[in-house]
Amino acid sequence: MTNLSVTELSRDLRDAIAQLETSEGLESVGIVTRVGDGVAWVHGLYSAGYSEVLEIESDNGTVEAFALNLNEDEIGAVLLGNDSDVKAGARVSLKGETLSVPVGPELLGRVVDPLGRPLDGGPVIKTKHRGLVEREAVGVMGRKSVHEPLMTGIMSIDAMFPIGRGQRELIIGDRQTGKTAIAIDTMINQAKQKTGVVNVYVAIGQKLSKIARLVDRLKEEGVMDQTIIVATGPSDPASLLYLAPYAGTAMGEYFRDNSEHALIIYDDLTKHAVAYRQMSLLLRRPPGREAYPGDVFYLHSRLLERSAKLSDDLGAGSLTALPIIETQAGDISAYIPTNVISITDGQIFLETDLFYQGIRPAISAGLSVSRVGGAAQTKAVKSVGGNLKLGLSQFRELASFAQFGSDLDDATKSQIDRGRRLTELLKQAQYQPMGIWEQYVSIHAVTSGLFDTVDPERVKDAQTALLTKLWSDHKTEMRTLNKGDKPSDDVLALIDAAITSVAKGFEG
Amino acid sequence: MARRLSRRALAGYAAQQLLDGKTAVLQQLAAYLIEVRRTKEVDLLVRDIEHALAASGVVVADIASAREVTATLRTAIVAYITKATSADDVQVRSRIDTSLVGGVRIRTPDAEYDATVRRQLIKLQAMKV
Repeated sequence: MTNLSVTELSRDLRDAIAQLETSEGLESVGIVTRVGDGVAWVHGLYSAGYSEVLEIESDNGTVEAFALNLNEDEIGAVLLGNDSDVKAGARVSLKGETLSVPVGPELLGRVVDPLGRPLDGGPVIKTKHRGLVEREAVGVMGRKSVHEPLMTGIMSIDAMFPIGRGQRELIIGDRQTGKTAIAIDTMINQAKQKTGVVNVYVAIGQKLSKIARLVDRLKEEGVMDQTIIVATGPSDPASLLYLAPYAGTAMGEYFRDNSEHALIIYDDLTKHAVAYRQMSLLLRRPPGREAYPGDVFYLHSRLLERSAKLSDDLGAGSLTALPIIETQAGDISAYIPTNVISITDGQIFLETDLFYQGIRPAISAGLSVSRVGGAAQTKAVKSVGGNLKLGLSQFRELASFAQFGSDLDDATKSQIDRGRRLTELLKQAQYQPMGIWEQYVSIHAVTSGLFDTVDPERVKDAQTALLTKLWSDHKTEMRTLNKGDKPSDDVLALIDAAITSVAKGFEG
Repeated sequence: MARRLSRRALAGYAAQQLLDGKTAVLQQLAAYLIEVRRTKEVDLLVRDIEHALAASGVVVADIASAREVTATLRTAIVAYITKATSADDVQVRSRIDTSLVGGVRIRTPDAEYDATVRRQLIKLQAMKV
């Protein structure tokens, strides 16, 4: 055994401290060897860590970058500012920290860039806390099963593909099929139903005009006060597009970790993967399938793994993610869509054909699924939505046969008629999310057969009349039903009576 | 095809040879760089060799100042570098750089101590919102 001298140990430690204090003034530096396309190559700084922030001296002050490639001879750093300000030979120093963004309630109602700088013309945001952009996801023991509903207010989703707090549900479809509309309606519903869920909307390379319209709409709907928007446009450097979802997640995690609930929307991860591909190719990383780098799966899996329902010990907060993926010609078997489908807990697939048939939201009943949301569905909606998905899928299959004009038996005819009514019922205008009681009553009216006499073309009118009648006549009961529990027999009886009464006025 | 040797590997070899007193390594290195068409890397290679030497206790420091450094200051700087880098041998190159405005800047192969007026001005500029 080695004999340790405590006296010597103490002296050695003091010497080490003295030496560290003396070398305090010596700052580790490197130089830029070449720069271009938003990437700077740096010589020196052998102590730099992955994702560490570097400060590059320029004529206009400093430009920040973060180290992504740590090679033997040089560092590949992605610039967070304008690359025209950086020159070869410029001095580079370590900032001594990894990327972080301001987090906290101070950000609510603001539009910021991925570094937390305001884009809405408002004052500089001063927060008490900062959150790490790259952070490890919560471990197994820190999690709890998804069990609380996160109502989107969209009847077809809440009834057939329910989403729970802490779930990751992908919204996937071609361009112009209503993907963002679903996300916006979900945000609006959080305010309308007063759920207290904070919204974080991450726009990745979205047109700035679209973001401006979104902000105006959210303000109109009174949702902006509980919303943070992290915005990046097509003209922003790829580095900012790459950082945006991680920065947004850090902002959402603040609420999750403080026993609150947050919803984060990534619009969209296809553009995020494209930005990362651009950066990776410029950093000379080997391209793989579709020229994406080998770690493009990890890019999204580590991001989405941070959305979780926390255990009671950790405060029981949650972060629910709604990533959006844009497909080309409905091809969900492409590289990025299959990756994200396998990472998430289900997907809502939007079909172009349905959209142009006027079935909006254009949700495909066959291809959409929610793997964990069933446990989080409210009892009321669950009681009426149980067979909805199957019924709707069967109807669409039967309807395609019925097109050939062959004679059908009465049972099939009735199934098709009910399917037509159901399809009409599930059509829902944008910005009009529905509460639990509205969803329950509407679906019950059709699935119970009480609306079987209603002309399918007039189902929406009948639904509006029914909801108006019930709200004016039985407000208290409907408020109780809105809490999510299955209605009592008395309440069910008065709902049935109202449905029968309304149905008479809309007979076909 | 022969594997491309990294600059750090080359620098490590050259530094060791220099420490052993074999200065002929510079001729070998020059011939190699011409052969593999990497002469453009010579400046970076020199920095890497200095870095490798520093790791072995021989620190080459570059002192830049707006005015001539006095002998007393030079001695103090050498003492400072010796202590800060734990070097056995400190070799100093000094030069006058009027663009620094005032103060002194010490550069070792991988670190810098910048107490110039120019640095303070740049810091002020960076702080400007």
